[in-house]
Amino acid sequence: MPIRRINSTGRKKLLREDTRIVLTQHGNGMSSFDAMLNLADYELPANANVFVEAYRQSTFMRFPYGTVQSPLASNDISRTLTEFPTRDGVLFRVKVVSAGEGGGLLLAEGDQIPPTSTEDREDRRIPLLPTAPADLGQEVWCVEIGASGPLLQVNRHLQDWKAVAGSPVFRSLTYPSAMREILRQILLVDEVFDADDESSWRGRWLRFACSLGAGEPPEQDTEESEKAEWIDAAAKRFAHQHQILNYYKAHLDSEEAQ
Amino acid sequence: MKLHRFNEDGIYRFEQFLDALANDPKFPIPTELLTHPSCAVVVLPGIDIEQREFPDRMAAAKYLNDILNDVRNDDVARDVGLWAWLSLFFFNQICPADSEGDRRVGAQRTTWIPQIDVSRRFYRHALLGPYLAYRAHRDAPERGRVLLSDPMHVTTSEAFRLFIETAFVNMAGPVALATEFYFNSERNKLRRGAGTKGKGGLRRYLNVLQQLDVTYDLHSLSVDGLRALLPEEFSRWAS
Repeated sequence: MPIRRINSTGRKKLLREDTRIVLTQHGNGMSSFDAMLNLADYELPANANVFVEAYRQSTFMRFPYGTVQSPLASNDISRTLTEFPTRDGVLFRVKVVSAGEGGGLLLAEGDQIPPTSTEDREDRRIPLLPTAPADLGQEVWCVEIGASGPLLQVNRHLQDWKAVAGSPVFRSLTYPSAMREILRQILLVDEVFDADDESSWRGRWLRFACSLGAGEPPEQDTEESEKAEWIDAAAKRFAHQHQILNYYKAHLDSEEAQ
Repeated sequence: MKLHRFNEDGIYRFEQFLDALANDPKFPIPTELLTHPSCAVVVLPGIDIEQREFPDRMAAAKYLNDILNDVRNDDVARDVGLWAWLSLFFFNQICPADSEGDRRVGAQRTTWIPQIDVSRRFYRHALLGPYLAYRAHRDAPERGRVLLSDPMHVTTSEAFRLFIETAFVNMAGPVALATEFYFNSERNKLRRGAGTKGKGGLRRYLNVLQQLDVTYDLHSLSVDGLRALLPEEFSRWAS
């Protein structure tokens, strides 16, 4: 079971809308980032230090980013992501840390922030199931569940994996199964049942399932068969809401007509 | 020899070799694959790589970091073909023959061909894992001794696994203090009792770090600052 991080320290959660990371790709293939941070409404000490961290698996970079009063990077410090020649799977974290005597206390944090790029359309939704290319042998897709949440991996040897992952037909074939797998991991393996934990990917997934009309998540002492039924009901409701069968049949009909 | 990376055919042939070796532990190493034009291509801009004997994973990681620094515009850490090629290049060291001339490849292919997209397996590669840990502390490599003191063919270090599965692997203070506590620099190995599951052991150290990480920015803490926050159970290592 994963270690639960209970927030009993008063540290504040930085909202996604207040921590926006934008990547710019340069001619040499490298990317640099800019962080648009709105920290004014969190009642944090003006002199507290701000740090932006980029990470992917064990690869990591950390950048000082001014103070709460002035959350800006110094011109002397490069914001080039030299450890990440590609942006695949890179996420960001923003930390606000106390300064001076008693320094080092974590006052506020926003984690698992996906960057946007200057070419991307504006989209600040939290991706419940981000996609990434992977070497999967002869498999087309699979769900990889890591510490930062689930990832829908698509075989990188498909000619254009991004186009495949984004196609509605692919989604119709993968998403209900992926959803079942993720909910089984949360409820039956990790044994997490708290849909109100906003800082956790598990909480976000449980809330998403609730929002489909599956009802409140089962509790810890619920029979395993009932937990499985709830998972199944959530996946079915997802398929129903998105009319997945009808969409797929329409796709087959259009292919036959061509 | 120039540094190469395997293409798909090269990786397939390497996998075939590993399968053959699993059935016949004396199967010869197919070094011809390293430069065969149908299996491998030179990594630009053309980097020389030598066969060297490394006393431990730290030395190997340092060497790899030095030469891979010259690879440009390439996501080295995610280059499966490159790491598979390096596995074959250093195969004698990462999978040495025993006194009977037998090699044991085991069932874990990820030790030889990395699964870079699998969060609990990418670091199990015999060379990529040490390389990543070394890069995290390349400004002061001795700090990371506790992670990389094993011989090349030992890929099951608990200290290494415990750190690299968490964000702590990148934190100077926690890694430096672990080296101070648990590493015997004279014998180049973990101190006796470091691996115990109970009080003051490595696993407990990581659990305490998890707890402190909720309250403190552990990157900002000095070694002395971190030491002062630890419970009494760790004091026995301080000497």
